[in-house]
Amino acid sequence: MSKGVILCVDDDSTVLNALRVLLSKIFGSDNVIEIAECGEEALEIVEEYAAEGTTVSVIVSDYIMPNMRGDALLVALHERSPNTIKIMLTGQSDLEGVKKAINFANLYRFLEKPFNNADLVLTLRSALHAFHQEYQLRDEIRALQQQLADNAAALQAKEAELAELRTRCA
Amino acid sequence: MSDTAIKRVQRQSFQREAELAIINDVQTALVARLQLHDICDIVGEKIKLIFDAQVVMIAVLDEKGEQLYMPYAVERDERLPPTSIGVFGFRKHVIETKQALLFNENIAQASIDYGNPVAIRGDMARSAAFIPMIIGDRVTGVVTLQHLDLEFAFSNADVTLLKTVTNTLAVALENARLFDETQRLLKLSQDRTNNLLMLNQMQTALANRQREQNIYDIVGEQIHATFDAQSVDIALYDRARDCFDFTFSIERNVRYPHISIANVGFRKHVVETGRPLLINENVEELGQHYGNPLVIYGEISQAVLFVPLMVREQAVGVISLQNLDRENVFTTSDVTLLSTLANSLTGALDNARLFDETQSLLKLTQDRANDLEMIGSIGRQLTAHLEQGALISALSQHVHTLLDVQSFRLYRLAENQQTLDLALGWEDGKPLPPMHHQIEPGDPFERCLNEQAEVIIQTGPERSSMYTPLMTGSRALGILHISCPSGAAYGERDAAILRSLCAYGAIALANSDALAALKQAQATIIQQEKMATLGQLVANVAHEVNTPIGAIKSSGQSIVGALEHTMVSLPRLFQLLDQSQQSLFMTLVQHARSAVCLLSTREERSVTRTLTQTLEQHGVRNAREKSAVLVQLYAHEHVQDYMPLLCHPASDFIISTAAAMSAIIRSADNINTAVERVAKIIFALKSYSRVDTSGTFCPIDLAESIETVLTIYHNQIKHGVDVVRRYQAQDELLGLPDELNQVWTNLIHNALQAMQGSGTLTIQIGRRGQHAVVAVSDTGCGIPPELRERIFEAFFITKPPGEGSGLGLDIVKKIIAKHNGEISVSSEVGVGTTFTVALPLAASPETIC
Repeated sequence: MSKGVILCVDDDSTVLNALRVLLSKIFGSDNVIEIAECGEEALEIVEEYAAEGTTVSVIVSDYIMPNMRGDALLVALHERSPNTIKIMLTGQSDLEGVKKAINFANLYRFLEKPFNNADLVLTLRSALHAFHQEYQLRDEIRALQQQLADNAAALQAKEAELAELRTRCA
Repeated sequence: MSDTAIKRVQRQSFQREAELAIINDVQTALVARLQLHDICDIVGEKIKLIFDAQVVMIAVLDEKGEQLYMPYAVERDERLPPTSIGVFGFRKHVIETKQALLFNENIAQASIDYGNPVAIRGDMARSAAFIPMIIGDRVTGVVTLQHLDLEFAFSNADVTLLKTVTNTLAVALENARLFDETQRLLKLSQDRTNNLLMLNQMQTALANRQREQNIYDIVGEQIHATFDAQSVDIALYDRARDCFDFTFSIERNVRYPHISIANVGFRKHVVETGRPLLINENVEELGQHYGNPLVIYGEISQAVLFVPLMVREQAVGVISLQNLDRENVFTTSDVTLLSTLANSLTGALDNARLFDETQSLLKLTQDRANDLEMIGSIGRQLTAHLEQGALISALSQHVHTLLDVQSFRLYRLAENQQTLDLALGWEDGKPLPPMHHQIEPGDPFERCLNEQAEVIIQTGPERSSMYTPLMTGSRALGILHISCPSGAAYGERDAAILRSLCAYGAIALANSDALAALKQAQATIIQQEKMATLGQLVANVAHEVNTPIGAIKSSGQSIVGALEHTMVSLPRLFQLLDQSQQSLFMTLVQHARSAVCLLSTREERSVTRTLTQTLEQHGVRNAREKSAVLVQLYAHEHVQDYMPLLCHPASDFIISTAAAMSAIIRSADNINTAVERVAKIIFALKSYSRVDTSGTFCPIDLAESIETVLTIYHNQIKHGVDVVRRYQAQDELLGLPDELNQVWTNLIHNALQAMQGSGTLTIQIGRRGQHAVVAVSDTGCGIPPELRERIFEAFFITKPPGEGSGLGLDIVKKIIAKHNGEISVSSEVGVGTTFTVALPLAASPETIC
């Protein structure tokens, strides 16, 4: 199984550096840690991975950023990659933006700067878990649906067989 | 009844009435101060009317008794011009005998007898009467009546009446003569006095004594020349010393020096009674009676006349005439004349005194006017000072110039009204240290404040002090205390001067206080507005600070974690690696520390991708992870060098250890970067929020000042605003850094709001003439022309409620005015707005108030 992708978006390079160091250490063995300095770059990365068939597992986005604010990015990302778990990490936000992110981007968590490494790691761990659970769930559903379809086909075959037998018997 | 008879009856019946009428007319004439001719005309016409005579003549004997002057002569209704004739004939007889002559017949014979010409002119008289004018025992003239047609034209009654009329005429003429003489003397003395006054105006130094003495001399000489007296003196009575000071003494044409004698004898009598004293005989004997010293100097007098010099019914001196040769020389008219002269002398002296007084009053008035003018001008100077220190120092200068001051102390009254704080003090030209004075009941300060008036006291045997309150209305602002080392040094004039100075000083102080309060209020408003703006910015700033702090915290924790990792793994790693591999590992880690090329995240990603492929080609496991670590260590360009490590069997362990090392290094760098960021923000905040009300102008770096504001607004700007900086190097500019920050804050804040988060903010710093020019332009909504005029008004607001105080641009304008600068705005709706601020270069604080 290929590695997951954790994407961090912040216009502040020190935050990005800190996040990368932290997340690489904790989640680096199973995940690629990508960083982006703005919303547009983040969307590029998401699309690149999508092209490779990979869904970004978790995105951690700042709220106040040039050009595209965090809420707008998450809403845009939600349209492209609804399954990615969205976390907002910010020192300042307004209620409107958070509401928008919750309602239109299915925001998973809202974290405040300055962040605590342990909190962030826990949050990300649960986010990754959620992503994987959902992924698994989707797989299971798909398997069950397949099985159901298979079973239905088998049942149909059996019923056809039974009908032929009844005709013969009749 | 004949005409003549009727006239006679009429004459007799109206004799008394006519007499009275004449006397009345004469008196009226006198009252009207008519001259000799007028009197003679009036009397002559009256005589002509009353008496039946074709000829009426009035002849006046001259002083020497040699000529008869005829001011009035009528013959057969013809008025003859005034002429002079010799003393002869009938008139000579009349003058000599002092008796009237009446001829009612044989005038021709009588003319021969008396040596009179038959007719002086015209017809010869048939009847004639010659009546002498007598004053005392002296004949002063002759009145003549002649009838040219009739003998026995004049009765004895006519003569009697004519005598009465003539007497009255004589008295009137004598009075007139005396009056004339007096007038002449008065005029003479007046002229001299006037001349002297003029002279004195030019020579005020010689002033009083000189002029008075001149008057005594003039009058004395005049008296000496007028009267039959060899000795004349004028003595002034000194009431305080009870003695006489002689101001003029002459005897037989010799002037004697001024002396003083005791108040005795004749003069004592005259001074006490206030009446003239005339002694024509037995002077020596009477002198003993009056206790008079026989002779002051020179000869014994035969006849003496003393008249008092009266001023307001009080004798102030005595004029005396003495005839050394003869007795009985002084007449009652001499008494009258001398009295008149005495009056004119006192008048002249009074005039001189009045003149002196007027002069000194004028001088005083002039002094006062000068004082007032000077104080007025000082007042204007004082009230022109609006800065307390300067104005008090100016006040001190003026007090020092105008008054005798050794010690100067100006106290301000404290709020509690109990303490006086020395605002400025000096003694002997040396400044005094700051001091306080607690007001005690009964001390001069308390009196001064209670009475609201100056207090002048002797603070020692040889020390004078004056305390003057500085009042505006009924409010005391302070007290000025001056002193000098001499007793009773300060008088009314000093008090008046200081009072005026202090009045102006108080006004100026009150103005200065008011200005200080106004400045304080303005400063407070500016400060409050600044804080309000800052309040709005706090959320931004919190984010600006929280972001790097979050990074620091995270990086710090990462370092701890990575250290734990490397502490354990490094010894193990070094056991695994040979010598060359160990040094290669150290070199790899070193890369991170010597990092020079910083990659953007995009570049980093692309480099990582390429490197991953390279490593995969070399069969390196976990190529992606390893690539990321190498890129983070900035070792991607030298990846071939590290192949021994990458291809090592324990390559995962080696690279993860390197990653931990890299984490430590990068985290430490990250912390440094973040700390710098925080420091920058803190600095901006500090320089922005500094409370500086000292108003001290200091050099301003406009670019730095504007960058501070941009740092604070960084968070809002980075949303979508491009900042274009066009900064030119700038010459020395002095200003209030704090307040200028506020100007840029307001202008940048407005610009960002106008652009609603996206657009281009252009900031230009340049120069125009002697001004530094800062232009802040936005690409926002613009200001409609109808509002452009009003945006600088206080409380004019275009923003929604809760945003902005409406004071921003008003304060901006005030701050710029404080710098003697100008602000202008140009705007186009939908295009943008530019605010341009021009500040004078090298503006010194002195030119700014």
